[in-house]
Amino acid sequence: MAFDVLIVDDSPAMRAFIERVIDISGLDVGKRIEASNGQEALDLLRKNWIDIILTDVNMPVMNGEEFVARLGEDEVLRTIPVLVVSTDGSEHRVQRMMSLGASAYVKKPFSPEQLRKTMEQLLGVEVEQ
Amino acid sequence: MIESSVVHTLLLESMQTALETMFFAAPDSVSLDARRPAGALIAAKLSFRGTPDGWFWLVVSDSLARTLAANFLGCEDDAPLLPSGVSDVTMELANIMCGAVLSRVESGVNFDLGPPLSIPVSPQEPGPDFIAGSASLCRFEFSNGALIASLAFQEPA
Repeated sequence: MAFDVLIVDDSPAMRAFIERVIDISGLDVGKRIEASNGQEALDLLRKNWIDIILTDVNMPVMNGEEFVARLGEDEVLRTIPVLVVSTDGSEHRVQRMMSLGASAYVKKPFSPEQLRKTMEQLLGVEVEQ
Repeated sequence: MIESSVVHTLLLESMQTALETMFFAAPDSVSLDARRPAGALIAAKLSFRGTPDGWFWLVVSDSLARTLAANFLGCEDDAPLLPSGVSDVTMELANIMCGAVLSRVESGVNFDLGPPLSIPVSPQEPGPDFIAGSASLCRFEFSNGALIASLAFQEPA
C-alpha cells in the first residue's frame, strides 16, 4: 500500500530536500502534497486523505504549533501521524509540540537515514535496504 | 553572558554536521580567518529573539553556494540551477545552522528565528560586516570557495 505524504514548510528548498529523501528512502510513497504553512495544509487536508504529515514549526500565516493544535481538535485529522521537522530543537519546543499531539520530532540537521527510520516507525513499516 | 568559546564550538560542530548530513560536503580546513572570501558572494542574515537576542550571518563564495545547493537539491552536475534556488538553499542553511546552535545554547528556553534574508555581493563590494558585535565565527575552506558562519548576541543595555 502506498502512503500519501503532506510536507508543510515555508522553505521551497527544504520541501524539495524532504521529497528527495522520501524518494530515495525505499518507502512506498504515493501522493506527495506540499503546503507552505499550517493554514494551507489544513485546506489541503479537507480535500485529500493523507497517511503522514511532516511539518516545520516556524512558518508565517499559521505556524506549526497552531497547525498541530488544530489537527488535535479534529477527531479524524488527529489520527494522522505528525512528524515535526524543525531547526528549533530546544527541549522547550520539543515538549510543547509533543504535548500538542505531534507523534515524533526530528531536529535539523538530520541525515536522510534518520528521517526514513522515523517515518518507518510512524507508519509501522520496515524498508529492506 | 554566553561564553564565545562555547558558541564557537557549537558553530563548528553544528556546521560540520549540517554540511555532512544534508549537504554531502566536507571542508578541506577550518579556521577563524575573518577575511572576506574572494569573488562574488551570497550572504544570508537572520535575526533571532531569545535570551538574549542576536543575529546570524552566513557568507558563502558564489561557486561554493552553487555546489552546496546542487548537493542539497540532488541536481545533476549539468542541470541548470536558478539563482533563486541557490539563494533559497543558502537561506535554509543559515536557518538550520542558527537553529542548531541556539537549540544547544538556549536549550531550556524559547527562541524565535526571524525569516532569513539573502544578499548577493558582487566581487567589487566589500561584503557584509559579519564580525560586528563580538561575533563568534568559523570559516570553512573548500576547493571552490569558503563559507563563514558568525553568530552574535546583543550586548546587555
